[in-house]
Amino acid sequence: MNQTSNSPTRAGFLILFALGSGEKHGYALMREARELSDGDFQIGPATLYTTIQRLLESACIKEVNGPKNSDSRRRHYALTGSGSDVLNLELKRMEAMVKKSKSMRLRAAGSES
Amino acid sequence: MSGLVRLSARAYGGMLLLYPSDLRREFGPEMHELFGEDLDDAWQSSGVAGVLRVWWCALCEFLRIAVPGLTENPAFVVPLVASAFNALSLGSMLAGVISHHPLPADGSLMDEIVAHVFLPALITALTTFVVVRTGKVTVTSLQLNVGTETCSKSAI
Repeated sequence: MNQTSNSPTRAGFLILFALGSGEKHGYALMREARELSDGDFQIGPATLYTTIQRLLESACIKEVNGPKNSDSRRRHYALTGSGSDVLNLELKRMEAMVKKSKSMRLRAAGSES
Repeated sequence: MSGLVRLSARAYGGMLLLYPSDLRREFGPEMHELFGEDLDDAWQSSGVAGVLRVWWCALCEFLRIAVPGLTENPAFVVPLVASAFNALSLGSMLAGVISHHPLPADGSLMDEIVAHVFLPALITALTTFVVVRTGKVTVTSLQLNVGTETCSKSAI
């Protein structure tokens, strides 16, 4: 999966979005991804780490050292420059879609009246 | 941590063995730990329902991520197909025999199934697994030997 040219998967997007507010470890990412989707998207360990693996391979995220007092067994991840680009591009694409859908709804509403 | 949670975490550890080896090597311990934490939280917040929810998610993931990888692995597919074929043919033969010669009063159908269907199928599965694995190793080592020879010849 080429994350820079294609849209990320839903799990990929949620992970990038969660990392947008700062570095996190796996469990925090999983919890935040669930919260962001209002519990609609059930992300488990296998989906999380398969996605993390792809994002690491495509250099959208990188492994970083966690805070000094954190559990050493936990691996922390952070967004890279290209990861930020992918996230921003996806957010812009979504924003454009929302704008487009709003204008289409207005036009539809106009044609009804 | 309750017994159910501990048992679930152990079962998930076993399930992890069926995930793609690269994912398991890189993230296996983390996946196991994360599943345990998730279970623990679910147990504390929703009890058995929470544990079932976590398991449902894990099973869906297993079907989506682990199973496609397994179907591409000859060491899994060949023994599975061979033992299924074996069990099917022996099972139908056993059914034919039993329909003509009913079991004695003290005979158990389950014993017959285990002895004439299950055990041969298991032996077939193990044998084909060993054959596929050794076949793989031999082919790999042969390729390596040929590769070295070619390299040394070209170097000369």
